[in-house]
Amino acid sequence: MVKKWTMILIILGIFFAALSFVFPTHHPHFFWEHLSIFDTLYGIVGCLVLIVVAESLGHFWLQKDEDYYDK
Amino acid sequence: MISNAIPPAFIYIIGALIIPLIRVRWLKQAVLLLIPVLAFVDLLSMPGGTYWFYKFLGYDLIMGRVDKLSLCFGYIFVIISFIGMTYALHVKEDGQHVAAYFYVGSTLGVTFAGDVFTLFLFWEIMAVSSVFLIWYRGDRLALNAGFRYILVHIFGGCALLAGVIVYVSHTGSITFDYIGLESAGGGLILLGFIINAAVPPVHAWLADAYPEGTVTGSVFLSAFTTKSAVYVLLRCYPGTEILVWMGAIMTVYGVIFAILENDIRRLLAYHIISQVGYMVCGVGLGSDLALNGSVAHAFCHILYKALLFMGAGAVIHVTGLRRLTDMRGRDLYKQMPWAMTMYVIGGLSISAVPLFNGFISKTMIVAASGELHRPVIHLLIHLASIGTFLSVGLKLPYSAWFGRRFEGPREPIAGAKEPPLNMLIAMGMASFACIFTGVYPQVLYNILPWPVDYHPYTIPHVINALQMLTMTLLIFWLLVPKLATKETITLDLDWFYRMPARLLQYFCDVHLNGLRDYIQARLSRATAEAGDLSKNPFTAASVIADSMKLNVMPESDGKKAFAAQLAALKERVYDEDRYRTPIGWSVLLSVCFIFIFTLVYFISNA
Repeated sequence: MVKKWTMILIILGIFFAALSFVFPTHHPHFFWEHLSIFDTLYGIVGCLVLIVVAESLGHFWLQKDEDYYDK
Repeated sequence: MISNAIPPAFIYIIGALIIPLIRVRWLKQAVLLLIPVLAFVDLLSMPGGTYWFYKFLGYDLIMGRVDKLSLCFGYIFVIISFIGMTYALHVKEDGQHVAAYFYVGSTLGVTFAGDVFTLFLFWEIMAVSSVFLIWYRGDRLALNAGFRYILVHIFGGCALLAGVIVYVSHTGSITFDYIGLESAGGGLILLGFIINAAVPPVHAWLADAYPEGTVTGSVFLSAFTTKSAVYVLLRCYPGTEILVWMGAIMTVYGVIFAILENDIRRLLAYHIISQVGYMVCGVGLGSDLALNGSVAHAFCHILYKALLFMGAGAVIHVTGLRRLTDMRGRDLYKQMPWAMTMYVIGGLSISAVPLFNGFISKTMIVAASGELHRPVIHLLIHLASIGTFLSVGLKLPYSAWFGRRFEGPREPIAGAKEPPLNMLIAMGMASFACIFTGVYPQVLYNILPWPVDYHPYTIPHVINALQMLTMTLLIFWLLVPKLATKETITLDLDWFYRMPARLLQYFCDVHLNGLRDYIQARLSRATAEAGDLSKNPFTAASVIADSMKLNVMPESDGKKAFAAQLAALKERVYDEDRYRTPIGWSVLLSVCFIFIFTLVYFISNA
């Protein structure tokens, strides 16, 4: 079940990445917009960065017991 | 000006006052729904221009400054008040409806205000009426959160008033139009505005208070305060560079906190901060496309965020649960499929999935950041889009309704069912509006204040969005167990006023109270001694002198004897016969007085 959905998503991802070569961005403003699959890469990296930053901020610093303010 | 229209704020405020007088339930509900309809007709009949002047302290104040910008915000505020009231129709407490309509009315007052005094007046009514939507929840958490909320807003209101006074006294102008940071008082006014827009570092009130509101009240809260702040920023601070950075940081800030959040409505509240960040950034960018994007995004955001709050509220209404840790793995989707479906529509809208309304408005601001060549801003707000889909589009619905891969109590929640019909209808209306504006963006673009030449549905736009969304979905799917929330709270900047407040309380309780006790004890003793002395004024002087002498005497038998003598002196009571003076004294004093009086009289008349 888990594997099946993972495969479907990977195939979809490859499909959209391939499409982006067929339809490149019209007026690129930044150098990375010349790279058609930038959004695929940024999706992966950005998502991981967000999760890692948030979880480590929470784990080492910000997350407290629910009665923190009542103590 | 020839028009039969009246200020839409008054329709709500007068309506709010009538509501408690109606005793028949169906009639009350009809009136509640009629008020927004009347207001909408009123908006349609309001011609453009400036009118509704009234005099105050020698100034001409303006209640109606009607142009495309104020009308655009006016339309969406009225529409969402109708949807929100449909959602709240089953609520029996009149007070909630009255507070909600005062809140809506004052927001419309802000929207159509033509001068800074009118703006300030409605700004304050907005803060005071909205706090009741929190307090009506009635538990201790709501009471405390409400007090923190109103204190922050009173502070913001004071900053605004101070700024307005400085501005008016320096420029002599009271018009509510472009102010800018460089004018006198501009900084203070901006502070007042960004407190309401929940820009970090003055944002913590939002995530603190909105999750504590009533189920129906939070829907209203999510729509009005922050978006009216975006409106006033659009009026007064377009193109202010600092807002670009504040907004971009805000988008990511809200997203990061939302990833950690366990309370469903607090998670959504952090995404208000994130989404308002796009609008604030757009205001700062200041090009026509960016400003249009801010207006359009405010319009769309009000619709989908209200829908999301309605979905979360529906879960809280039927289950009483508010934490994801309590909901996951309990297959709620089987018991409330309609509420779940419509929540997901809101989730897809906020995530800017093509064909939903977030896509047509958020991408305007993103495109504007590209046109203006702001690479860092562009990447930051792109990053926030990823986080939005991750938390609101995926994590929240997955944990709340499905959650098969999360460990948690597996038994279904007893008694969970679809929410009342009026709630479902309200969610249906919001869902329809989200999809309709997503599919036919021209409807929205036509009412935007500046000319629009933007086409969201180009093939590269759609493909780029889908690339990013698919990858986010993939990462989410692989990391689902890691993303499971824990039963914790996340500290935010409200720590800086909540913890020092406790220290202040401790200081007042122990130290200041101790000082008071000390002073009180001393004063009581002094009073008692003065009382003793006053028993016999004739011996008072010698008692004081002898007491001083006793204090400096060395220890000896003589001192004891002297002390006994002093005690005897103190005991001596006043005896009028003993101190009686002969009558001659009185006569002498009278003669002296008459002599002096006569002398003065003659001298002054001489």
